[in-house]
Amino acid sequence: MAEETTRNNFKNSVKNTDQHISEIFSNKLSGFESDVNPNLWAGIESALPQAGAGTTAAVTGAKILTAKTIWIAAASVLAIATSVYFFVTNGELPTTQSKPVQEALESNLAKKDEEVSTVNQADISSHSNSSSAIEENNGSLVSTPETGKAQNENPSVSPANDAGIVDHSSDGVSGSKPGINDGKKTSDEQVTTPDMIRGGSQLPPPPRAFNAEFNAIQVNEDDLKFFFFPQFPEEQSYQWEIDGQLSGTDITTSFTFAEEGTHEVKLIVLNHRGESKTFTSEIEAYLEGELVLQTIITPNGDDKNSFFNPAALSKNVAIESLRIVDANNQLVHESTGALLNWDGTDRFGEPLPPATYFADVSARDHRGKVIRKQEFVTLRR
Amino acid sequence: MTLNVQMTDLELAHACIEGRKDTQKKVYAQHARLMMSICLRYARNRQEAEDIFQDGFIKAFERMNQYSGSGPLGGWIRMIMVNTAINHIRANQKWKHTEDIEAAEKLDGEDVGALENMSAGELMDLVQRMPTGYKTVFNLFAIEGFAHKEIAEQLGVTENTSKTQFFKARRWLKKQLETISRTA
Repeated sequence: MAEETTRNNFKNSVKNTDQHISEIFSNKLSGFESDVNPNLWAGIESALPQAGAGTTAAVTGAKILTAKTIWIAAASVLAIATSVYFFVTNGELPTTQSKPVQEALESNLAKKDEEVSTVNQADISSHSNSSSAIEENNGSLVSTPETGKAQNENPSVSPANDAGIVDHSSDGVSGSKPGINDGKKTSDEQVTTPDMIRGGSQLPPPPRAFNAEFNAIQVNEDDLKFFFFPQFPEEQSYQWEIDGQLSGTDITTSFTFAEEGTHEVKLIVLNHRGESKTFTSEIEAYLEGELVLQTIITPNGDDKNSFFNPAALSKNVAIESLRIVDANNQLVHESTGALLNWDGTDRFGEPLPPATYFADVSARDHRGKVIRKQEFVTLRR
Repeated sequence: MTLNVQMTDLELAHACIEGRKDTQKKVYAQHARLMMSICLRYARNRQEAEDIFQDGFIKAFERMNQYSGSGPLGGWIRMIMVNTAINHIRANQKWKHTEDIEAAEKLDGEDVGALENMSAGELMDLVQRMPTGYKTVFNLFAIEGFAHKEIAEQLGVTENTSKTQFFKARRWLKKQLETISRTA
C-alpha cells in the first residue's frame, strides 16, 4: 500500500514537473524569433504563382528541373498533351477543348487560307498561354500527398480562374505525384457541350514547327526513376529509346535506371505530315547523397556507439574528412584517408573527458559534389 | 484612400492568392523570424531549417485559399510550418520503437529553477542541441502543447513511444543542466 502511494506521488510529481518544464519552454520559446537569411525569400518567391506571369512549361532541351516547379509544369503539359492526344487519335476536332485551346484551333482554321507553309506562331503561343493559365490555377492544387485530401475538400477560390481549365486539370493533378497519370482518365470523362462541337473535322491540322526536345524529372530522390515528357506533345507519334532500348511509344514515359551514371535518352517524334525529328540527351541519374551524423557516442567498452562514424548512417556518399573540436575550439581529432571515425580519444590516443564536442565532416556524393556538415556530438562514458 | 486602412488577415490572404507580389512579401516579412525559430527548433542544423522554412512558406502561399480567416494568419502559417517540419523529419528518420521507460529520471526543483533562470536564447540553444530522436516530441509536447496521443498520430508512432521520447528528452535536459552547473 505504502509503496503504491509512493509510486503515485512519484508519478504525480513527474507529471507536474513535465507541466512546469513545458510552461517554461512554451512561455519563452513559442514567440521566439530568429534571424532569417535574406536570400531565402528569393527561393520562395520564385516558386509562387504570380498574377499574369506568362511563364510556359517548355524549357529548351532536355533539362532536369527541380522538384517544386516541376509538377506544376508537368501537369500543365500533360493536361494539354492529353486533350490534344485525343484530338489526334480520334482524327476529329476535340469535343471538349477548353476555351484557349479552342480559340487557338479556330484561329488556325481561319488562317489556313492565308498562309499554310509558315510556322503558325499564334498556335504555339495560344497553347503556351493556356498552359500558363493552368499553372496559375494549379499553384494551390499541386500538393504533397499528406494534404491532398484536404485540398480536394476545399473548393478553389482562385480569382485567376477564368480559363475554365482548372476543373478538369484539378481532377488529374490535385493529390500528388502519382495523380499526374490520371490526366488521361479525366480527359475521357469530360462532358461534351454542344456549343463546343465544331464542323470541319475533315480539315487537316495546319503544319507547324516542332522538335523532339523533352524534359526529364527525377521522380524521387532516393531512386533512379525518371519521368520524361516532350516539349511538343501534340504530334502524331512518339518513340522513346533509353540506352539504345525501346522504352515506350506513349507521349510521356517513365523509366527507372538500374545504375547510376550518365544515360542516353532519345526521343523520335513524327508529326501529322510524316516528318520526323530526333533528339538525344544525356541524363545524369544519381541517387541523392545524404550525410547523417551521430549526436552522441559512448565509448565505454560495450560495443554500442563506440565510434563517431559518419559512414554508418550516411547514404550515397564517400566521407572525405573528419575534424573534431572541443568547446574551446581546439582541434582534438582529425582523420583523412581510409579510417574516418573517432573513438573519443585525442590526437595522442588518450581518452577525452565527457563533454560536448563539435564535428565537422566533409563528404562527396556520387556526382562528385562536396557535402559538408557540422554537428554537436556528446561524448559520454 | 485605402492607405490608412489596415488590411485584415483574410484580405491579406486574398491578395496573396491573387498573386500580389507586394502583399506576399509583406506577409512573409511579418512572419519570417518567428517561423525561422520554429524551423531551427525542429531541424538538425541551419541548412535543414532553411529547407523546411522555404518549403513551409511555399506550401502556405500555395494553400492560402484554405485559410478561412477564423484565426490569425500567423497561427495558420505556423501550423503549416510545424507540419512541414514533422513531415521533413519523418521522411528522414526511422522511428525507433523503444520500450517504455518505467522509472523515468525526474528533474528536481533545482533543475527547474535553473531552467527558469535561463534566457529564451539559452533555452533555444538547448532545444537545438537536443538529439533529433526526441527533439521532435519535445517540441510538439512542451512548446506546441500537443498531447502524446496527438503526437503519436502525427508521427505515426505509438503513444508510448512519444512518452518515452519525452522522458529521454527530459533525461537529456537533466544531464545538460548538470554539465552547465558544474562548469558555471
